[in-house]
Amino acid sequence: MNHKEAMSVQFLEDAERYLNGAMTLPEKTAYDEKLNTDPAFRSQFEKTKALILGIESAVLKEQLDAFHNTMESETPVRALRQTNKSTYIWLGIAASIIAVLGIFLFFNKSTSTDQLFAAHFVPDPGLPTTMSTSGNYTFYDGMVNYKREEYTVAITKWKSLYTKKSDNDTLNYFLGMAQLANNNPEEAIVYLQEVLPQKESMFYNDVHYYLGLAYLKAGAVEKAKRAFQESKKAESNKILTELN
Amino acid sequence: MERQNNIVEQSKLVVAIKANNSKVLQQLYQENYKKVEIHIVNNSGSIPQAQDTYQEAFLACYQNIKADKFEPNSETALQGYLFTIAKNKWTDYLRSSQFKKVQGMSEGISATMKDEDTIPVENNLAQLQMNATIDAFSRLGNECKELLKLFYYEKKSMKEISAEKNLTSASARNKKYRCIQKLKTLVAHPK
Repeated sequence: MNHKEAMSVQFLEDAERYLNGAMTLPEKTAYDEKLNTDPAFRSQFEKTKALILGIESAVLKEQLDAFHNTMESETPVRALRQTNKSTYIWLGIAASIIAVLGIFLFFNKSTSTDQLFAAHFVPDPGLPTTMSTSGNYTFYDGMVNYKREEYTVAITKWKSLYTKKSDNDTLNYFLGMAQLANNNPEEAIVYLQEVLPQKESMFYNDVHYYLGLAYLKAGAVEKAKRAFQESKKAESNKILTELN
Repeated sequence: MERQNNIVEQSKLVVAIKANNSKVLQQLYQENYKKVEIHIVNNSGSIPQAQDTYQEAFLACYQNIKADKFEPNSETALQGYLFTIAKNKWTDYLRSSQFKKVQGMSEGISATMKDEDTIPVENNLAQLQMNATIDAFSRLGNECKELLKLFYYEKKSMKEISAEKNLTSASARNKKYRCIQKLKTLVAHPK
């Protein structure tokens, strides 16, 4: 290491000690003095400071995807859905639909099952998407389409997983949901029914309700009523009242 | 009193962030993402765009804290600050020619978006230099990356690092200096 390099090393290490608060008070006072009186020194110091912040930012940046992905796999998705604001947005949408329906009913007492379906059906908002876990990539890729309301694309992607995971409750639930949103209630019923035996599934509560809606859309009123009776959602009671 | 405590909490948060406390940074990231995602998705964005914009905002927020450009003055100041940066970045994107090209019809959207609390999105020379450094770092060899990470990000002493890497203290010091020089060269020669 030549003299110039040695000076440069010394400058770097002094700057680091200054930034880390590792200098003694007399050292710091002298350093501050030099920063305030020597513009060339100050400029070199600022460059070094920016370079160090750049290194720290680069390291942090490399960690952000990991922050993102652990957020989604560690947080129970259902809990997240219940607390996040999108639920309120969906509730808001549902509420306005109900309000519109109310006005409609006021003027037109006769409601067909199709109208009831249209008034109540709001697709499940879907799961947070993570792209990291390679095993689930296709599923979450489909979920991105589902959330964009590209149901046919989502169905195609999810069907490719179906041969291997035909008993998976999440897959069945969302395939059913996408089919229902795509106006294929008969197909939807097949998938949604697959979730019924899985009482511990986090979709269990919702599946009766959506199954009810699927039957309603398919015109099977009695089956719809039975499904709504099984469901614990408040919405189901409202529809039952309207059906009766 | 409670407000005072919360401001103390915020100051602690700032100190922890300045020290690159990974746990605190992770928590800050995870607790504030959803709100940004909802905002962006409700304003013509996709989920991947929400993630990108949020990460950019998170880094900008981190850099501003490090540079003492942020002082907590209310109990949720930092969280609000982060959200505002993300929101402004998204507004800038919606107004950009890139977005208009994709959309071809974004008049209504950009006209209705307004800055509530304006925190300027820095796009000056310093920011360009910062981006160049981040990019250069990613092009460094693994050995240099690791050494610089241990020293500058994890704040380990040269003594700890030389023990960990089986190097003499002089050789670790020398290596660190070479890596910094290499980084400077890469910054000066962008890809």
